Amino acid sequence: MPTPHRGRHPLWTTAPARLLHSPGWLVLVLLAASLLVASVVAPALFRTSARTAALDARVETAAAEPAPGASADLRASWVGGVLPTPGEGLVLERLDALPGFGPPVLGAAGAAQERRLRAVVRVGGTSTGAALFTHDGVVEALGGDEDDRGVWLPTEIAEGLGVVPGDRVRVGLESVSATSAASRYAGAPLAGTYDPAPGSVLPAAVADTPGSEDWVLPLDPARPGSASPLVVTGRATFARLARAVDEEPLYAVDLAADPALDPDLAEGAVAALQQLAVEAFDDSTELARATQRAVPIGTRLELASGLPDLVDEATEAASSAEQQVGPYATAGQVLAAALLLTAWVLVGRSRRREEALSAGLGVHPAATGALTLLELLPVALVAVPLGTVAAVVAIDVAGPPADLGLGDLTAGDRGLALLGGGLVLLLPSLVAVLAALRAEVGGRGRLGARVRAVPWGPLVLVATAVVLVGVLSTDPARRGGSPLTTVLPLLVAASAAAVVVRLAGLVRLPGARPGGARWLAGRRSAGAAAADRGQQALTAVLAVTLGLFAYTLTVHRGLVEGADDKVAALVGAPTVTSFEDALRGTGRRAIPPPVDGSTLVWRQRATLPPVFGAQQLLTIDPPTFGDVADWGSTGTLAPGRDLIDRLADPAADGVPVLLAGDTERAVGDRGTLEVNEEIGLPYIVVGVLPAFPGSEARTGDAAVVASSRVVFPRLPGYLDPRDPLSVDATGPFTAEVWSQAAPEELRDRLRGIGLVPDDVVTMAGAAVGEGLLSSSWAAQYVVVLGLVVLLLALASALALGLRLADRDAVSDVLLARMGWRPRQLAAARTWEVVRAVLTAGVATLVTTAAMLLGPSLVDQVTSVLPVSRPRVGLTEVLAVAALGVAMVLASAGVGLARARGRSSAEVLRGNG
Amino acid sequence: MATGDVLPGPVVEAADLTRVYRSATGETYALRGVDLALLPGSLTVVAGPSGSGKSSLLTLLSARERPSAGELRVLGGDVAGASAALLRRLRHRRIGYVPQRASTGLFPHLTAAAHVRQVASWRRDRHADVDAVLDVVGLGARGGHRPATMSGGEQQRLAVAMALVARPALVVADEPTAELDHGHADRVLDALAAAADEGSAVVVSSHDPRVTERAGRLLRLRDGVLSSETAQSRETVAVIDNAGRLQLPPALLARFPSRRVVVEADGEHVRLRAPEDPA
Repeated sequence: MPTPHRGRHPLWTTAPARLLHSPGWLVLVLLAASLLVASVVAPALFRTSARTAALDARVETAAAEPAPGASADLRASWVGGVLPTPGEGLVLERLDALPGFGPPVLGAAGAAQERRLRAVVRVGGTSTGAALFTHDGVVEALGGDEDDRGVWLPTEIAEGLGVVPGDRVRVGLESVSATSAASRYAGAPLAGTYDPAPGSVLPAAVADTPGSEDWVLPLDPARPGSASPLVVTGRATFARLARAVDEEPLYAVDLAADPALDPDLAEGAVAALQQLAVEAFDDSTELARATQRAVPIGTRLELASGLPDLVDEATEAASSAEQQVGPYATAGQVLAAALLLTAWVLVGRSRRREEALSAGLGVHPAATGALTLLELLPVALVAVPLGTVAAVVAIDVAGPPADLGLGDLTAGDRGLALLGGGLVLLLPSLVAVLAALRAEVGGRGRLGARVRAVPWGPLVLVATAVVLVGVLSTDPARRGGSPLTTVLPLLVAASAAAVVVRLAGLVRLPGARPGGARWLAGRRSAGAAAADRGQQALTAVLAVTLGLFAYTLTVHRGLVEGADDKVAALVGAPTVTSFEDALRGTGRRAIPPPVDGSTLVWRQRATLPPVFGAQQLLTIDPPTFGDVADWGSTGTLAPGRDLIDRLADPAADGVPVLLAGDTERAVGDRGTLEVNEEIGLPYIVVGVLPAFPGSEARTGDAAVVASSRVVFPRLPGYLDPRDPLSVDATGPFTAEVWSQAAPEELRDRLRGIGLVPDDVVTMAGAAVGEGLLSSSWAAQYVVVLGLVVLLLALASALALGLRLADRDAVSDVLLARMGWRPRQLAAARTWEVVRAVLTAGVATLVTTAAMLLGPSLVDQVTSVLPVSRPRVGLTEVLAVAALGVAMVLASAGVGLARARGRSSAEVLRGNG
Repeated sequence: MATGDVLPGPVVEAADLTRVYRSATGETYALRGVDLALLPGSLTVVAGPSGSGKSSLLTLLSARERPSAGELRVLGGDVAGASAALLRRLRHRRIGYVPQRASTGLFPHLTAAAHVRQVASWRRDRHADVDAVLDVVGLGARGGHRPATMSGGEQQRLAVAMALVARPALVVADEPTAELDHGHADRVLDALAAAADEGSAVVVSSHDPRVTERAGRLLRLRDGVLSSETAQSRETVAVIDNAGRLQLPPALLARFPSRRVVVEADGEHVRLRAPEDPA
């Protein structure tokens, strides 16, 4: 039967499906290709995710801040006039059109009353203080409807005036004295009455509405800080009555930030806000003209939102995160590329004869490269979507806490995925071209030429030393972003591998029974150590990958726990509220913490002569401080807790102090502490610490920690915070209440005792602001990096297994004929693998020790102490051990499979 | 045009051909000063014991490696000095090569027919009859099979078929019958002889007497040196290399147990005798 003729270039037409004939290689190559695509796409996705997460975190923390306009919500307001209905409609329409915000909710209150005019409701000749008020939804909550022309009065006032619903009342502004401005009133029917909520002027029916504490209320000038009783009306009635009595109301339109606010939407919202704000003050715009037509006086629309600041801060945090992750992202890409190259080198090893055949047939290396490209085209077509999905899932699971989905992919992300696909095609093709060039004619064995091996070991050691010097001479603050810092761990691992592998070749393990599997392994290793540089190189690669895997684990732990330490040093406790000088004692007695579960910390400027420059003095309350303060995760701050009691040592000669941060002082040093540049206090150093809770609130110099119970009694009255009348013009002690409670809970509890904090700082908020949140995200990225290294390690183990099996092909057949059982031969090779992995383990120990004890390369927020450095725990040790076992199993398994798949006849014929 | 058009002069010219292999443990001389010329239409067999340098010589003749010293011209190209591109072109279009181990000469993912078709395409033979080429080596029914499903002998014959596609100017076959039974070996030899008859210069290495018997010219290599040459006249001549060295056939060598020889010129003859023999 004639053979069907299908195409004149079968080598080309069959190339795309070629890997299907080798499912094992296909899986390995597809995995490596997908990882490469993922590593190329991931940084951009990380950026998107970091922006979203940083914005979410800032929006969340800003919502808890007491300062008006700090949150992402928008308040548009105008004061002094009532807009004509079309004008009001225009304003609301423009506000409603703003992206990134919910629907506008309008509220207004009379604001004209002052010392000479009082807002009242009057029936007959009887007046009682009450001011106009409207807010969307309130009338409906009281049983009326928005178009209702009547008013609602507090039940008590209605009863006092003797009116019932349906009666007419007059509301207006009443002259307080004869010389005051004229009184003016307008009539309206009483639509109903309501009971105010306890302690509030708002109707009980709406007092619990979320955000009601921020509604505009008519403030009573006679009682500062208190609101007037409310004459509740619908929006139109409010405008009619206000116009009638020449009220100068304060209008506020609140727009809640969209809960689904993402960075792009937020940036759009900020741009639109800024445009609207400009229009409001540009008289050529319809908006400005509309507000100018307000009666009795023209007004301007003013916008207040923390969103622009939040977007800026989030962008900064995202940039910081991106910067921190940058080196790891690059390393990930390099490793993923290395994995793909390794995979293709392994594929190439299985095709060595074919390479020789192609060279012998004169196939151009470029054609070989193009054939490889064609062969990998289907792989790339699958790897692009697969890698993209993997990147999305990895960033979603291990990246910043932002819901990331395939729908969030941008055109840029897709472009990067295609770039990754291009690399999938290009890198192995280059390997194939190089292999083809090598297989071509070239070696001529020139007479007299000598074989010179490249001295990789010494070269790596020298490179490591050079790079180490470069890193050490780099400013620690800029070390994190240096390419030298990125490459140093790899070089250290390579150096350790080079040295340990060389030394391992000299070690002879005693006790192997001649003729046994271990004995054979020893004999083979001894022979290989001298002759097989390839096997040594593979063992070194095993050592490098295992070392890098261990390093990624220690970096992950170091970054996560280091960020915890830094946040603790920055803030001190989960929630810290501060009071400028509002919190003072009641006499010269110790001030107890204002609420349960809190502690009081006082801050003041101090100097420690002869060192000039202000440092911060933290005076703490030792009995309550230890349990409330956050002591971080690594134990670096923990010694401070043990030293707290020594701060209150009554026997000390001087004020016992702890010094936290960079200082040249030592325990036992004495001197004079100048408080606020006024008072000199003798001190004795009882402890020197790298950091202390709250010591980095104002980063830079060392913080001085002392007990308030020791310091305050030594201060003059005007500086002593225990004195209710203490006033110091040059700067009083600032009080902070530290607590482990949530910010809202602490604020409510403080309000309950009449304390309104000036500022609330949370550890979560500080983490965002100082880029420490980004550190934890970078740590997650390192985990993903570790997974890539893990795959690389396993691929290296597979390569070792194949190499050993190929090396032993002939000798296995001969040994089998001499009576060795297949199990013994497999066991002998497994012993060799175990030896290689143990060697790698020792090198890993050396690498890890060097990276743990050497200068930290991972601290990206060097402005905040303590320094983050790689850390090791039981989990890391177990993970590395597990990988070592997996490497042994993979290597031995693939070697066994390769050996079983060979026929002895083929081996002896030379085709094995 | 077929790729094997007869050249006016020798297809291969080698003078003082030397090949040294280097390794970490030293240098090995595979060939030391071989002189050789191969003409179009010739069937030359290179014989010699293992390690004598047969494969090294054939590898050089097929322009797969460059000589360490000496001169080698293949199809007009100086193998030592030619560019890699020129040598690649020669191998691609004009030299057919059968490797010593058949499986090393095949693509595992191509069928037998695809192998032939691909080589024909490279050699620009648009009208190659794939089935006929496979039939010549007895693989007419195996065209749809991949190497993994073929026996060692079938693989060997497929490699021969590939080498003969489009009648290349030079066919180099390294022990092409090593794995073949008598019938198939004869078939392969017939094909190689036919190629020579059509104008190709065919050079084959072998131990197989069936092959050496059919040689138009038999070259014997020993220790990297061409020791003797037997032409179709069946008169065996020893070879004197450029340095004046002469290798005696083993049977004659036995007459000189002390490995010393007295060379005497006697008129038009040169006589060799052992020193211990009377003059």
